Amino acid sequence: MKIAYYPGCSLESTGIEYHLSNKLVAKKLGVELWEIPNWNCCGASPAHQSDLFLPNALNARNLAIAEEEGLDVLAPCAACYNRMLAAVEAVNTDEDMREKINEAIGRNYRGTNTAINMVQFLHDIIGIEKITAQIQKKLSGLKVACYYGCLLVKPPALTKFDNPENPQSMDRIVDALGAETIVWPYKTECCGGGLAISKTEVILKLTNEIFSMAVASGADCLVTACPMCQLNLELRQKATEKEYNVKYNMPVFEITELVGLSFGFSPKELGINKHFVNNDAFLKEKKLA
Amino acid sequence: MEQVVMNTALKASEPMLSEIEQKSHVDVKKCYQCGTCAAGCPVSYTSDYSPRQVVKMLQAGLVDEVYKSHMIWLCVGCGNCVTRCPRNLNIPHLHDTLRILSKEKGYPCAEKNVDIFNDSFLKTVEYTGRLYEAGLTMLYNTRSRNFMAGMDVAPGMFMLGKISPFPHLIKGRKEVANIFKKMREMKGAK
Repeated sequence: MKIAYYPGCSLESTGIEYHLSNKLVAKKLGVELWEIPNWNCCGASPAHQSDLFLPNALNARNLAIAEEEGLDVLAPCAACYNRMLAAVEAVNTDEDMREKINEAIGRNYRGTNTAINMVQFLHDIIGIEKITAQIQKKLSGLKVACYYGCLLVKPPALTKFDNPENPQSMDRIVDALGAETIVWPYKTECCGGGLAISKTEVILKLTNEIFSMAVASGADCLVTACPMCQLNLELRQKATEKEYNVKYNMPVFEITELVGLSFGFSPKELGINKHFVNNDAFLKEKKLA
Repeated sequence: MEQVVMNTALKASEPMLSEIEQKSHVDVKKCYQCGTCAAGCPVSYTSDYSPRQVVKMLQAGLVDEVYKSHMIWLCVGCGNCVTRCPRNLNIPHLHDTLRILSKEKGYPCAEKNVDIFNDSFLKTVEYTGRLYEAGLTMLYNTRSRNFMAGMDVAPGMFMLGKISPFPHLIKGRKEVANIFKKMREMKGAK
C-alpha cells in the first residue's frame, strides 16, 4: 500500500519524534509513505485567520502534487489535516475559488483526493487486526488518557471522523496495544496551541485543566495524534506547574510512539528520548526501556 | 459602551452586515442565543465578549464594536461552538472573516501580539516555503517588543536538536511566493 505523506513543518523540528515513529511504524505495517516532494507549510492558524484564499491555496498546492500521483494524503498533524480538508471542501464547492487557486499554484487541482489523519489511518485504513499482528511487547501497566484535541474531530461537518465529544478510535488502538485506557471527559478539550506564543497565560490555564483532569481520572500519561498538542502539553508543563503550584511530570506521547514501542522499537529509535518532559524513569518503571 | 439607538444602528450597518454574511457564509439571524457556544468556548473567560455576544451584537447592528472586540482575535478555532451549535453557525469561520475584514478596514486591533505573531509566521512561509521557527521568533520578539518571548524554552529546543538556526528552503518556494502575490492582487482588486 502506498499513501502520500505530508509531514508538515512541526515534524521536521519540534515534533521530529513523531516523524521518526510514523516512518518506522508504517514500514512495519508494509505501507510506503510517499513524502510529497517540496511540500510547503499549510499556513496553520495564521493563514486562515489572515485571509480566506491563502490557506486554501497553500494546501491545494500540496494536495495537487499528491493528486497527480493519484494518492490521498496522510497528514499526521491534526492542524495540517484540518486545513487540508478545508481546502478540499473549498475546491469542491466553490468554482471561483478553485479557478483562482489553480491560477496561483500553476497546477490543475481537481479536489479528487483527501486528507487522512494518523488515527484514521491506523484505525480505519490499516485496522486493529493488522496492528495486533505486529505486536511484540504488550504495553501493560500504562494508564493512558487518549487526548484527541480539537482539530482531529472538529468541526464534525468537515472531518466526518469519529465522535467529536467522545471519540473512541484512538482508545481502541491503545487498548489493542495492551495498555489501559482511562475514561475521562477532556478528550477533545482545547489546549490553546494557537496562542502558545502570543498569549502564553491562556495555554497555562487550559493545559492545567487537562492535566488535572487526567490525573483525577487515574492516567499516568497522555497520548495524542498531533505535534502541536504534544508540544504544547509538554513544553510548557513546567511553567504550568509553577503557575498553579502543582506537580504533574506527565509524559505526553504520540500515538505512533506507543505503537512503535509495542512493535519492539527502542525509545531511541522512535525519538522518545527527545521529549521535553523527560520520560526515562517512566519508561523504566513500565519496563519499556 | 456609549448609548446607541438600536434601529438607527441596525439600518446604518446593513451594508457592513451583508458584506460579513456574504464573505463568511454565516447567517447570524439564524442564532436564537442559546449560549451553548459561550459555555464551551475555551477563551471567552479572558475575552471582552463571548461568541454568543458577538453574534448578538451583529444581530443588533453593532458592527464597529465587534470589529474592535478581543474575541475576534482570541478565537483559537477549536470548533467547540460550531460542533454544538443547534443552528449550525460556523462561528470560528465567522471570527476569521471578522478579523480579516476588521484589519482590511483599518480598525484598531484589540490583540496586537496575535496579529504580529500571525504576520511574522506567514512572512517566514512566504520567503522559505515552510515555517522557519528561529526566524519567526526573531521577527515576533522584535516586532512585539517581547524580547524574551520563548527564551525560557529555546535552550531546550536547541539542546534536543529540534530547532535549527537555519531555514529549510524548499525548491518550490517561487510557487509559494506566487500564492502570496495572488492574494495581494486579489486584496488590491477589491
